Amino acid sequence: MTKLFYLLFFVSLTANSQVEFDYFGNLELQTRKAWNHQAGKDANQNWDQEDFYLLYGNFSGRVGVNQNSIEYNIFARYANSDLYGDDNLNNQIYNFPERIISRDLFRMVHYESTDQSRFDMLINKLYYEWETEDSRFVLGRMFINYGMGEIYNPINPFSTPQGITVLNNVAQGSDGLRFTLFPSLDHTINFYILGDKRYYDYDGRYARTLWAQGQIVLEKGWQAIYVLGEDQKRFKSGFQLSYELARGTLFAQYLRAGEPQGEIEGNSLEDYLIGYDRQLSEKWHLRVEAGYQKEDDLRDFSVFDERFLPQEYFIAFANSFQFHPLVKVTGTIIIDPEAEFSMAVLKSTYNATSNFEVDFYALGPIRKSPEKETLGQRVISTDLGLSLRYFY
Amino acid sequence: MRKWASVCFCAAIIGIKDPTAQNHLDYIEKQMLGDSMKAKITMKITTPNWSRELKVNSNLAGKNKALVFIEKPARDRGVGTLKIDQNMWNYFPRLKRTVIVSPSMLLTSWMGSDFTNDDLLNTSSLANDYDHKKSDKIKIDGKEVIVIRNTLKKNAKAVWPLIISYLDQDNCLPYKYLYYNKENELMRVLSFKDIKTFNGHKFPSYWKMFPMNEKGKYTELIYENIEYDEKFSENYFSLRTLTRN
Repeated sequence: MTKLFYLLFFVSLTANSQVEFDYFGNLELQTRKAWNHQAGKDANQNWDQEDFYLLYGNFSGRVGVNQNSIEYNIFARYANSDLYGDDNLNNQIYNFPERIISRDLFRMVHYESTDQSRFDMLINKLYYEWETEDSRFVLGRMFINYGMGEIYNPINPFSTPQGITVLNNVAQGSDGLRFTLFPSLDHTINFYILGDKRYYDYDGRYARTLWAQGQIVLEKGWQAIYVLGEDQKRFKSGFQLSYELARGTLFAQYLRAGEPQGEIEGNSLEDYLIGYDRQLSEKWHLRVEAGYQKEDDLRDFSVFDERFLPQEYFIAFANSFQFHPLVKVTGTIIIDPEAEFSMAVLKSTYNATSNFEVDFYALGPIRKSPEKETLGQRVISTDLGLSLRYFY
Repeated sequence: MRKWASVCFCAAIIGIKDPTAQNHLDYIEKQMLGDSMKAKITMKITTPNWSRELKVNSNLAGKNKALVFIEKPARDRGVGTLKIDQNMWNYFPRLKRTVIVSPSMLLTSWMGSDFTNDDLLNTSSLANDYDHKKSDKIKIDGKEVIVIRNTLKKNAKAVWPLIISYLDQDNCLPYKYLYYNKENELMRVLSFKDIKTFNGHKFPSYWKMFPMNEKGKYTELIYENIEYDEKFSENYFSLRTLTRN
């Protein structure tokens, strides 16, 4: 595939071309102390307290010539913890999102695992882009990021929202082709043809994605996103509507996924989200999201693969407060009213120098009836952590 | 005699015999913003304990279109903000993520500085969103200035209910702006100096903003270069340009 990029890129060069190079990235070191709960032990998570260390980084670059460019990002991550030794689920949460490639055709992953560590290094972005007067064409592994949901964002199946994780700047890549049309200044349409060999297992069958996603800026503060297509062997359709209300933004999403096609039997799915985002004062920002995700017969709610803290109903409050120009504190609580379970995440980010940040974070469960909880909820531990982050 | 001369000088600059407050403010917007402008700006945030420097590329067309990109520091490089009429978006290139910005975000600090999103994106217009009253001239810092009291119009969407502007008699450009909150308390002071000429437009290239409630803190804007009447393509101010890199 790399050869194809080079070929497309160099064919597009002209004698008067001006070549632009750019590189950037970030490195992060995290250390975390975690305490297990009885609910976790009852769910076969047999440990009391553990240390977890994580080093990860993004190494990105871009080469551009006129209307053509190649962009890449190499993502590398090393995690160390005794929790890797058994069938523990917590490391999936600490490392979330574990799955960095969302729709995987080309692999481009190196992976090593021992009883105490996990190392993965992969290319999660590598694409050739060509821009014309009224369109844009992208071929390769790309980030697909749209939709307003930060805790839950059902209209975008290609990027997992990371509103309550403590990893930063982690983006998921998808393999295929994107063709973007700009019919007017207020309307953008993206057509995707993607493939995924990992739908069942990498060397097995593959699932295709044919997807149309459009964004329209309407009158009087309204904006809309629509999606339609086939993905992961289901027909899906949905939309997002957003509206300026009381100087904030009110938004709603709906996604319907039909029953799986082919030999696999499963149920149809419906996902809803409603949210409100507003700066309440100069320093205080509030976001509320509430939603419903229909349980998938094929993937139960113990799996962290695609949905962080999977549960059927939720309401989440995310507050951020700028205590000082260099210190921002965010507090998020996500509540499952059915299971009477909540998870709270408190994070403080200190911008120590222009390109260096320090995070302190704490997270933990608030539970009443562990017997009602999903497996994914039972394994949530109480954690304290520190992150050191450098940008270049 | 000196007073008479300076009045005449300002009137001559604006081209109106006895300019009203509205004439003054229209002149300032025309002179400083032009039909469109493309500026390279260095922003320096200083406090007694820390300082930060940012490099920003700002593109403005009229009062309704703005596209701003951060060039430095590396942490925020490429982060862009687009404003078209009342709609705003932020773009984060590391994740290729575009986010709708609520109108309430206009009053928040821009990158920890003493300027707000509203200031940077030129969302509100002193000339259009405020009622004006020209007062007697006064002398401040040994300089004679024209005083204009700007009160927010009833249905206008802007952050500050009252702004008092001092205009330099010699060039009719801003010398100092005083921003008051609803309780009529002085919240911040913006001063201007170093008039330069860019493409025939006179512009104070050095701005300094002092917040009244944070002792020792201030933010400077240094306009390194401005290109006026830039011919932006028809679709330049669009989500397409915002998400290009």
